Amino acid sequence: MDQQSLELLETLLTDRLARIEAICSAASPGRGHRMIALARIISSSLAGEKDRVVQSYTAAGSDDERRAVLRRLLRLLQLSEVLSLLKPYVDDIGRRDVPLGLWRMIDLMIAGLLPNGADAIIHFDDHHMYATADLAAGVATVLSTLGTAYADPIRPVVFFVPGTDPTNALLLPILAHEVGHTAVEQANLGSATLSKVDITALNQLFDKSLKAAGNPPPGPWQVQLFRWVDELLCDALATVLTGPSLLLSSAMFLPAPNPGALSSHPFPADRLRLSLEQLDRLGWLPLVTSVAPGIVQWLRGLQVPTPSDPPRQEFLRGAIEILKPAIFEVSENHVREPLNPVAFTAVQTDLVALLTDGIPVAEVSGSAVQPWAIVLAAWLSQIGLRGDAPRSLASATADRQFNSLVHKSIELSGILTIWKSL
Amino acid sequence: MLDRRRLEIATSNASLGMLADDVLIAIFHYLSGVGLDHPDRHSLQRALGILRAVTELDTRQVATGSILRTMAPLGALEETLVQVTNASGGADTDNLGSLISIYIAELEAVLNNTAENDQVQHIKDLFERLAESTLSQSEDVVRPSRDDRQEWINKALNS
Repeated sequence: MDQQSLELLETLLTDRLARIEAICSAASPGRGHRMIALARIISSSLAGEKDRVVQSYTAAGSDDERRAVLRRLLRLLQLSEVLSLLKPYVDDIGRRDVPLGLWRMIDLMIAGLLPNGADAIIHFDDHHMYATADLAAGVATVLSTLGTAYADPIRPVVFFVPGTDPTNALLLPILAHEVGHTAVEQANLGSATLSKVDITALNQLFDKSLKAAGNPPPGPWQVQLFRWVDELLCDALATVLTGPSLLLSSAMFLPAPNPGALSSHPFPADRLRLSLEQLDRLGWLPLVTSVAPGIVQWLRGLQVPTPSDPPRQEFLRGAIEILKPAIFEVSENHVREPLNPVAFTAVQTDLVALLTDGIPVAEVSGSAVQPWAIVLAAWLSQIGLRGDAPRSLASATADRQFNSLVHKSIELSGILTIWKSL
Repeated sequence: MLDRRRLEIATSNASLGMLADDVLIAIFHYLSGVGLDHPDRHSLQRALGILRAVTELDTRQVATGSILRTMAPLGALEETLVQVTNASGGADTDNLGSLISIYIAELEAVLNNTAENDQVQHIKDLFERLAESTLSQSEDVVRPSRDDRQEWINKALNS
């Protein structure tokens, strides 16, 4: 490449950055606006680096060096295109068409799982999937390379909800699992978990499994283990926050009968088994087994798939047995304002009865009801109405009228909480 | 959906690629005899940190305190491991650790101003491959073909 190529790339990048600034300037005010601040930090870093690259080109002492400098300009162009990917979410900033109940639950997930808070952007997605994206974490490495950082402790986080079913109240614990991913990254919970385990036992299992597999490179196995630990941490965080609702919504959403594959996620049967173990540890199991003994028995009978890579599967499944006490402990120490079985039991009968009768619930015994208690009571109400069978989980989540009732209850209890605080 | 993994791969490739470019520029300065300036030394030190972290993952001990784990999201860690492994030629061998150790020694020799020409050429080849492969991978992520877009959709659906 030559001077003319440099001039073309520089002009192109200048124009791209100007277009991104135009999009930023047109964004609505309101919640989620920190995404604009982040985009501007990235954009100004790219502009500063562009100027530095142009100067470096002039000072370069060889063609090889000039080639490396120009390649950097191409990378800056690629990064400007990553910024363009944010356009649909800029349109979500300050949106006013989201039900209050959904906003309230997202605020509770942030309060419970993200100690530094988050500036939420809600996106109704074209995929039937819940997810979150911590944008500042996603671009942190590149900002560091450009010599800057996003310093605001409150980060912009996109909350993806299925566009075809954005207000499904019974599946909200799945979104809590996804917020868990942001919590795991921000608080480095994966490393905290690994630092608590019996490393000798884990290393012996690792060595034995690698030998059985013919001594492949260990790096990919380690990364896969980290991914499994992260997923199980997210399940554990959501279980602490929401109680048995995570188990019931996961059984429906995974769905439980899916055997899964040896991938970035543990097998559904193992995930649900670990959730049951944690519920027992947290004191929830007597309630669950009394209301839904059939569903619990069905979940306990689920099987993992036949191993496609037996040594690797043996390592990962064996490792999570070693790691699970640490996963439970780390998650229980992290969550603020978890749903408590004793407190829930005190309101359970009234709450379930009112929801079963189709009455929106704001308070029980003169106190505003905790929203995660409403979600759990909703699950129990539906199992009571529809029967203690797996199909009831699916038909309950499919009942739009009932899910609207649950959302209305969450809104009303929120209004009551504000009213009582005045 | 802007899935987390895609964002992490795009930015970690850009970050790793920019570091590779900077290391190459430092090597050109070393070869030309003008000597290493402060930014050159900083880039070489950062590259050393990445290579050492990759060797940490390549042992038979579970990396409880992985340097890379605390440096970046998991997607970035995975992508860095893949890119460095491929650029080192380690994907075709079970001896990645030994290969990376040689690169580490060569980088240290450049920093100490004691590197021989064949050592410099060897380390330069590694970072040339890394620079090219990260640029190409970023292109695939930022401007996916129709088939690649479907692949990303499938990945997003399974994440």
